[in-house]
Parts: sequence; C-alpha cells; structure tokens
Amino acid sequence: MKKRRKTEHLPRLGMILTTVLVLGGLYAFHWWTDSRAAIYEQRAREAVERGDWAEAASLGEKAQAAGAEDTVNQLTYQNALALFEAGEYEAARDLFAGLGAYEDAPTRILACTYKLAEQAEAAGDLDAALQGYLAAVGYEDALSRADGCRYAMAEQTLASGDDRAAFQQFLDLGDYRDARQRARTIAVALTEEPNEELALLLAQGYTADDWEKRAQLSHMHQSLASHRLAAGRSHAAFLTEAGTVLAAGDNSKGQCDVQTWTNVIAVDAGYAHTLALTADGRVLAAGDNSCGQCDVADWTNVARIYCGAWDSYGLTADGAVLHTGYTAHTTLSGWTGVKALGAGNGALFGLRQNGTLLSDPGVNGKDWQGLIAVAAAGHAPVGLREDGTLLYDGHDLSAWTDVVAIDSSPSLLVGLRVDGTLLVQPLIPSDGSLLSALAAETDVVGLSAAGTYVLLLHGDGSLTAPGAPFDLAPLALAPES
Amino acid sequence: MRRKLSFLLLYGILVLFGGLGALLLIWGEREEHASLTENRMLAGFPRLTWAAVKDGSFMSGMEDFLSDNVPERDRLVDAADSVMDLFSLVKKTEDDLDDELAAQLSAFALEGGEFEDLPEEELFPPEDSPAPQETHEALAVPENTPAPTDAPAPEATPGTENETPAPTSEPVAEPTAAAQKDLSAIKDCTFNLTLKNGTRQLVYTFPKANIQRTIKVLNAYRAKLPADGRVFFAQPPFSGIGFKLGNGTAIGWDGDLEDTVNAYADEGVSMVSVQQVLEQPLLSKEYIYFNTDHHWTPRAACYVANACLKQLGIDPRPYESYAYHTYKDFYGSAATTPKARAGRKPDTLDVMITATPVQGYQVYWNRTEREAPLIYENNHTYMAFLGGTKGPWRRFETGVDSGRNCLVIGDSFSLVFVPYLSPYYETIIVTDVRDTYYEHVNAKWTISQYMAENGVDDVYIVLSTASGVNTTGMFSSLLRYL
Repeated sequence: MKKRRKTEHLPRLGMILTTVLVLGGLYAFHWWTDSRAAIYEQRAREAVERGDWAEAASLGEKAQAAGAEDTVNQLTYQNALALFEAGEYEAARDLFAGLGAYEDAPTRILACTYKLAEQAEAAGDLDAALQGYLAAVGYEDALSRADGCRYAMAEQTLASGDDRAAFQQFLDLGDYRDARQRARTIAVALTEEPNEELALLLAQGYTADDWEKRAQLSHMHQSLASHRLAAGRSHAAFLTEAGTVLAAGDNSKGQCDVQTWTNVIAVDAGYAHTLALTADGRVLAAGDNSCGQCDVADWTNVARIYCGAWDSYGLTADGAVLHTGYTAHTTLSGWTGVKALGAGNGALFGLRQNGTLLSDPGVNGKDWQGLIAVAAAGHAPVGLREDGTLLYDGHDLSAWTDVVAIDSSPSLLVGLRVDGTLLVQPLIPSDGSLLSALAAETDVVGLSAAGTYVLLLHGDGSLTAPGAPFDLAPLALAPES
Repeated sequence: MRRKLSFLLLYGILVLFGGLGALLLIWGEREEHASLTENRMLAGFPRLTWAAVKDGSFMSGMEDFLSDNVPERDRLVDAADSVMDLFSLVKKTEDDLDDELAAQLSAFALEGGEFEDLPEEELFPPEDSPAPQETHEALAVPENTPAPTDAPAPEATPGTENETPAPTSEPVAEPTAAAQKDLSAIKDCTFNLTLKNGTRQLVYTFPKANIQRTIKVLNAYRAKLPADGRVFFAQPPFSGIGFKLGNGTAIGWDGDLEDTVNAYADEGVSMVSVQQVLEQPLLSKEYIYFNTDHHWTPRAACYVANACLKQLGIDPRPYESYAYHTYKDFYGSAATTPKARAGRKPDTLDVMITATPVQGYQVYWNRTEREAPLIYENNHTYMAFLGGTKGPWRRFETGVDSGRNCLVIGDSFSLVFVPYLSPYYETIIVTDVRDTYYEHVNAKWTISQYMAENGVDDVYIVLSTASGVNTTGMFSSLLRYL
C-alpha cells in the first residue's frame, strides 16, 4: 500500500485557507467602509453638540462621501435651527435656503423672513417690514401684518402733512379697515368736491367724464356672463339659465358627464376636467382625476371656482383659497381677503379685496393697484384695472383700452371690450385664421379661452367657438332673451 | 500526476478570478455612477446585510457590480456592438420584406465589405432635380413583429457619428424653395477666445464646406414644416472652453458662424448664438457649466432655450421661476473615480419640476411604446434628464394646451434642454440620429414621417461642438434619415 505523505493534503488546505482569507478580507474591507461612514457621522453629531459647526460640516462631508445618506443636510438643518432659536434669523435663513426642499426648510425660510420683518417693524422701519411680510406670505398672518404696515405708513404720511401722498396710500389699501373712507375724506378736502365718489376720481386726476365711463365699464364687468362658459382642451361646457350644464367635445375622461348637475351658478374647465359651483356653495367635478383635480366633494362655502389645466381652485366667501390638483403651491394657506384668482400652468395669482396682487410661485409686493380682475399669461400675471387698461410685464398691451374682461390660455390672451369686440394677443405663435376670426366677432358678453379656440357667448344668447376642434351642437340653445 | 495538474489548474483559475474580483472590489467604483458611453447608470457595490443575502439581492447586485466595473468596459461594449450589428444585419435581412436591398446587404456583409458614405451627388442632388414624392402614411408594422422585451432598445454610442451608416433606397429630398441663396459665397468661419492679455486665441475653424452642408440640412428640415414653423440650431461648446471665461483666463469669446448661417439659410431657420447668450453669465460667474462634468448646466440650457423661444414671440419663463429638486452630490464625467474626485467638491444639480404632469414614452422601431418619464426626479446625475438617450424615439405629452408641437434632435447636451420647452409645446418628440436604429435595414420609418404624424411645428437641433458643424457623419445622418 502506498503511504500517503503528510504534506499531500497541504495544497488543498492551502486552497481552502486562501479562499477563506480572501473572502474574510473582502468582508472585513466592506464592513470597514460601511463603519467608516457611521464613525464619521457619530463624530459629526458630537461636534454639533459641542457647537463646533466647522468641524461638524467637515466630518459630515466625509460621512456622506463614505456612503452615509443626507448627513450634510441633517447637520446643516440642525445648525440652522440652532441659529433660529438664538435669534440669528439672517444666518439661519441662508442655511435653510441652501437645503432646498429638505424637511420643512421652505417653511423655515418664511419663518425667518417673518421674524426679520417683525424686528424691522419693532425698530420703526415700516418699509423694510412691509417688504419682509410680503416675502413671508404663506406664513401665519404675514399678509395682514403687511396691510398693517401699509396703513401705518399712510398715517405717518398724513401726519407729516403730505395729504396727496397719504390719499394715494389710503386709496391703495382698498377695503382694508377704514382706508377707503379715509381716502374719500382726504379727496374731498383736496378737491373741494362734496360728492365723495367723484372726489375720489378727481383726486386721482380723472375728469367727470371719466366717472361716467368708469360706471359703464363697471356695469359691463358686473354683468358679464363668463362664469357660464368653460373651455377645456378638447371639450366645453355651458351653464344654462335653468342652472343645468351642457357639454360638448371629447368625453374620453368623462369630462362631459354633467347631465345630472343642477342648481349650478358657475362652471369652469381645465385640460380634461369640468367644475361646477352650486348655489349652496358646493363644488361638482367630472373628468380626469389623475392629479386629484376632481377631489372637491368636501369643499363648502365656496363663492367662486377656477380651473388651471391640472388644478381646481375654490374661493370661499371669506376670501380663503381652496386647492386640489397637480401644482405644489406653498403659500396659499396664508392668502386672505382674496376676491378673484387667475390660474395658469403651475402659477396662481390672487387679487385681494384691496386691489393688490398675490403670486404663487412668485414674488409678492408687485406694485400693481386698483385691479378688478387678473389672468395668468403663462407664468406672468395680467391685471385688469378699473379704467379698462391692463398691467402686464410681457407683451406691449398699451393699446388695450375699454377692456371689461380678460381670459387666457397657454397660447392666447383675450380681452373683451365694452363694445363687445375682442382684443387678442398670441402668447405662442397661433393660427392666423383663428386670430382673424376672433377679431371679427361682435356683441360678445362672455368668453372662455382654450389653447386653440375661444368659447364666446353673444348678446342674443348664441354660442360660437372660432377654432374649436369639436362640434358645438350639444351646446345649442334657442336664443335667450 | 494528472490529478495534481488538474488541481493546480483549478486552483490557479480560482486564484486568478478571485484576485480579479478582489481587484474590482477594491478599485471599482463603489457608488452608482453614470456611463456616458452607454447612457445609463452603472451598478454600485451592493449593501451586505443578512436580509439581502437571504433574498438573493446581494448576489445579484454583486453580479451587476462586477459586470459594470470590468476594466475597459467601454471598449468591450463597442466591440460587442460592432459584432452584434454585423450579425444582426445578416439575420434581419433574412426576415425583411425589402428583398432586393436585403439580399445586397447580406452578400455585402458576408463578403466582409464596409459601408461607405453615399457620393456627394447622391446626398445633394443637382439644384434642378425634382423633389421626390413624399408620403405621410404611417409605416405599416411588419407581420410577425415580436414585441419588445423588458430590456431597453440598443443605446446610442458616441463616436459612431463617423461610422458609415447603411444606405437607404430613397433619394434624399432637396428643398425646392423658390429663392435659394448662393452658398458658394460662404467663407470659413471661426470661434475665438479673447484672452486676458487681449490676444485672440483660435478655438475652432468651420470650413466653408461644412457650413454649406449644415445650411442645406437646416433648410431641408425647414421645408418639412408648416408656414409658421421654425428651425433652431444651437451648438454649445464643452465645459473646457466655457471655464476659460469663468475662471478669468479669457475675457470674451466670439465667432461668425451663427451670423453666416443666419445670412444664408432659408427664412425660418435660425442658428442661436450660444456664445452671445452665455458670455455675460459666464463672466458674471453664473453656474453655466458643471465643474465635474463636460455638460452645460440646466441654467445654461434654459438661457439658450429662452433665446430660441423669444424669437418665436414667446415671453419665456425665467430660470428662477421653475421649481427644482436640488442635489448637491453630483459627480459627473470628469470625476468618475475616487481619485478624480479627490479634493473636488461635487456639483449642484437642479432637476426641474415640470409645471404640468408630462407623460413620456420611449418609442421602439416597431411603434410599440413604453413609459419613460421626462424627468427622473430621484436621480442625482445628468441622467435625471430623460434618463439619457433611449432610442430610437422619445415622445412627451406635456399636458399644455398650446396647440403647438416640436421635434428635438441632439446629442446629450439636448437632454437638459428639452424640459425647458415643456411649458410651450403640447407634444415634444426627441431623437438622436446616432441611435443604431437608423443603421438597421428595418429603419424605414423616417424622421419626416414621425414629424408629420405628430404635427411638428418647430425643430430644435442641439449639438455640442463635438457633434456639430464639423462632424461629417452627424449632418450626413440628419439628412439621410430625414
């Protein structure tokens, strides 16, 4: 029998040993790299506790480079919170600003801005406080505090003896507290005209003829029928005088399933959904609900409704804004005293009782006053003033006069003049034949603009829709008196 | 003895592959990172946990990691693609209904032949030759067409723009505009930097022939559009050039290519001067180029997109008006290894949140579609924009009721450009003509057919200087596949 050498098994043992060592080494290496991240993270937290922010930031970066998730953001957030608690609001705001959408950083930024505005107000710098509160709209009562600053500034101006400037400041406050009455009182003193409303106009540089024209514009604006028209991307809805709703066009998402709706007082439409407001303040919806734009069943006390393409908005009787849909608005909870909205794609503009403008997203404090309506021309607001002119930072609309209503889509801005004709400004290159057709329309008393057509109601009760890609027949009615 | 030898052989193989694996584990890229040649994310090292071992995800993740971190992977992929293309041509010709061309290609490939560019006179027929009849009927899907698998369609690989594509059987369309400008008067153009010391440094020369070819291509696309349609062409330089303005090495840059193209191209064609748009922002130290990647930033793409939109009479949204997911851990193409990242801060990546719910699709050569979003919101790399080039087509329904549609053709610089068109166009279709689809015999579905089906009003061609005017293959392809 052949004797086995003792060393015969050594190669096999060596192989096994090598394999075990290699695998063990790999595991140890992987454990070490993972642990390294945890070690750096722990050391960073210890640095935070003793207040060594520079060291904490350096260790946080190393931890993140070693695979720890979000360590830098966590440490920055803690640092920012500590600064906020210590009253260092500017420094805290800068740190929160660098965090983007991490945790509640956007809300914290508003909080810092609000606190800085409070500090400015306490120090007597009303202008800085006003700008600060406007920038913090959406946080607590920032909007009311802004109005309060304006009122205080107007009183300071009056006390300084500059009656004309004070008049304008009180006038710009609109219906805030007793600002309008105080404006009237100053106007009477300035113009020596006993009729307060006429004195208001005269004090602004208008003439008695302008008063009549203003009254005409106001009457036309109040009696418009645009709330009866709703133009969606490929469908339209019309509110009858009986309070029912008719619809025509694409019904692939159920956006025309409105036959059972009754007691309706207003309609609007988005890309593929339809909204209706009932007389008891509830809201009905039909159509595409992929973004929750039809989740309005629990809305109550609603006074007006608006549709963005993928959003639904309700304006309550007390001026608050309800919203459901695609866009992630951040400041709507702080909007108060709103009387009208203009909804675009991803942008919402609010017209307050005092005639000033709110934006989300956007920068509040736009120096626009005396507005009676607002629309969204893409990302920018278009404001309609009492005198029938427009305010818009985009295309030149200086030729638009005697306008009583405006509406917009992503491709068109349309204005309705007091004489029932239309003004059109393309926002995106549009079909020239559509523009010509709209320019030829007359006796228009209501309008609703979609991207490729405009739904129009005429004085004789007839409906037209130049450019509409569908048949309007389902909306046909006998001419109404 | 035999047993000892077999044992030694086995042992040697184990040690060799074990060692290779160990090397990969030590020196491989442990974090998930983007492959710009394959336009996809390469796997990082999987997390070793008991749960991952139990459910098998650790081992599958290890497989992916080892596969994606093989040294010289890019060259291996290129070689494999070339071999696959050769054999797929031979295989597909056997199934194809276009028998004459199929037989020719099959014989050609089996003989080891190489495809060549069409002669100049076939690319650009004489001025007086009539335009070929065009049809806008949808291409019928061939019978027995298999549905696509879950695996993505072949990715575009860069560097193929100079390869010779398969010839088509259709003559190339020539615009028949009534008044064609005399392109023979065009001269060579240049792109220069003005250095800090006041001297001018030549960066690019654009030969006359290349400019003429570019104009002919742009005109050809313009001829496919409605009366109010526009063609925009933008040619951004790489970050290496832009940095010279940003770091003070240069105090300006200039070029006459854009003016020349605009002077000689048909009405409705516009070459946007990227250097004019971006010069001042660069000198003002705005974030125009990434520090660790060769691409331009979303801010730069937005500026150039807005410059195009303004020419359409649109009042475009400013960059700051969009909402973004902001990521501060982006390491790009210039920092793919730990060594390259050492000492370099990561870039900040602003990934746009669209104003409307954009629906995106990848469209395969047989017209089937798979959902593929416009923005990959949780992706912290340049692949967040469209997820890279997934061919042959992408189609985006933006949910914007504007009644206007557009086509974007480009290289990877176009990826971050497309989202800034989404507030204005209802449908956006995107393609990269370097996609291997266009070289296949089955690629009878042309760009102009898809344009017509989607009612394209405007065309945006966004090509970096690496794929632009001086790239023969790119502009030949743009015209050939139109």
